[in-house]
Amino acid sequence: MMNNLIKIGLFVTLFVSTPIYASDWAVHGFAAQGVAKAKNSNFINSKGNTSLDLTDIGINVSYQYLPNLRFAGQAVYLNGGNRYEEGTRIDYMLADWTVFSDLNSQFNLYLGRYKNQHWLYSSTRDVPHTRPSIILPQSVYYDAFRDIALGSDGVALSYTRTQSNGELEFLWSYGRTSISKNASKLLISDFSKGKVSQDFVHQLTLNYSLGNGGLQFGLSLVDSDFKYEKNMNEPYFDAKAVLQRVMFNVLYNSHKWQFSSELFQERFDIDGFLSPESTQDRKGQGFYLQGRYFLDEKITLLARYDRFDNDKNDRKGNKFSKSTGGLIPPYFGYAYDTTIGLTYKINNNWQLQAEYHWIEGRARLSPAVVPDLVVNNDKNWNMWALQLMYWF
Amino acid sequence: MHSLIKYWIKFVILATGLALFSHSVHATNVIVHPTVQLDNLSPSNLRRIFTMRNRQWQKDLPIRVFVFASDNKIHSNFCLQTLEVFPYQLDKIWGKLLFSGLGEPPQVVNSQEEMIEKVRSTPGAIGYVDKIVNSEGLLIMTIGNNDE
Repeated sequence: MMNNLIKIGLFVTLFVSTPIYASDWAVHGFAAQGVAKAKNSNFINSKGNTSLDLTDIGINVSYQYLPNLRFAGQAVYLNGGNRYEEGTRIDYMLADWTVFSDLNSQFNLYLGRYKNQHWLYSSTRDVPHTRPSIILPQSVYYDAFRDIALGSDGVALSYTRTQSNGELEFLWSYGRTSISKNASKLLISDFSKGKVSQDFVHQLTLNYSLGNGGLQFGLSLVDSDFKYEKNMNEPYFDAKAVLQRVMFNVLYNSHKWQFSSELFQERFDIDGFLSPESTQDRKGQGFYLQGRYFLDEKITLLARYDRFDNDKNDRKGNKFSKSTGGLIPPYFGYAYDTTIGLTYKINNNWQLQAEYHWIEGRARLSPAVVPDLVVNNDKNWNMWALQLMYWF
Repeated sequence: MHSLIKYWIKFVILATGLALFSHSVHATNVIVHPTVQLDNLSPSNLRRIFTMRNRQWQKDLPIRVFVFASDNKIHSNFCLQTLEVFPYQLDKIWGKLLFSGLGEPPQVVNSQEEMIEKVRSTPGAIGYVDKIVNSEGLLIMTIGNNDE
């Protein structure tokens, strides 16, 4: 009920608003509603039905307090069905201090709740008109991990500098994210009653763009520690986990084409959980290759191949399946997603996006640890989504 | 044979270049408010300014950027010729800054008259126009030929 009220309130505010520039204040926002279906899968809902659980609404305010100090915050309401927790939240709320700035370089320090700026689409993955597709490649942008990968409370800095043949960007951040009980369930199991918490997340990125920014590449690192505190009434145990990711990215812009790719290896080491002594240390790998073609000023076409292997030493998931006594089928160990999409820009504030996914494998669904075996009973599945978006 | 191939490669490159930029006859003029104490900027300086990566001319003088809407012809000419970026790249960068809390996009104006009026009346302002009838109260920036 409360959520619905907030949702309606946000909608009304958005549609009576235009960008406000009262000298040092600015207000902007976005709203999008879609329809999606993931047949024979619990990706969007537990029955695999057509669903309207594809809503993104946000409103942000920024205030330039001094020439070198500004404050900015954004509130969002999101509903992605089973993909992540539904509800309203503070997306970011930060103080942004320009420590120094000249014509060739700038150094900024951010304090508060900052967004993950380290990956190609991480900072605005919930802002529909800024993303290449409605559902982002799940290898890199795993939705069950969304809250953890989206941003944190802490400190971040950015440094950009023009070189003789391009531009260098250095990003660093250190913070932690609080994970709600529902988000814990999405990560682990519908039956888990304990709580996942993050001790810290430490990220670092180096990007270099050549010449006029047509070609850009970068390296990004993540290091994060988690713990699981069990509830008295459940069969699981306390656990500690480490997640580390090394990722490369490439982005190429031309008049008619844009290519992007992110490639990573992720180490996941967990001690405890299934039994106090159990230990698991595996390295997953993933990448996507994405091409976009700008047919004209209104239409953009997209083609993408996305691949994720949960364990690089068990790419087909056979060993993993055996370790569960055959209970979980091997196809939960990987996911290959081929996507085509279309974006239609209606005008400078409205856009329509549509896409179709052919997917083999069931990794990257939620819950991640104890999957839903009833709906997800085949290794192949398909999904489509359509979304209308507005922003100002 | 070898020189013939070279000839054709040259021809194709030239023809592609002409096809891409044939709609543009002359470069746009970059204009700034007189408080800006510079008369020359390199394309890379301009790119930093219009991608909102550079926020201050000097201490206590914030840069105020004015642009036309992204489907405006003067805007696309300015992007392609002066900034040497595609208009969609700017849209993407501004959207990312705005909705992740890192900055404000430029202010959009609807006509050349409004552009001139805004730049004339806003300390630290920078914008661009196709033609200037009356340059009173404005400085016209020269753009360096290289990025050095």
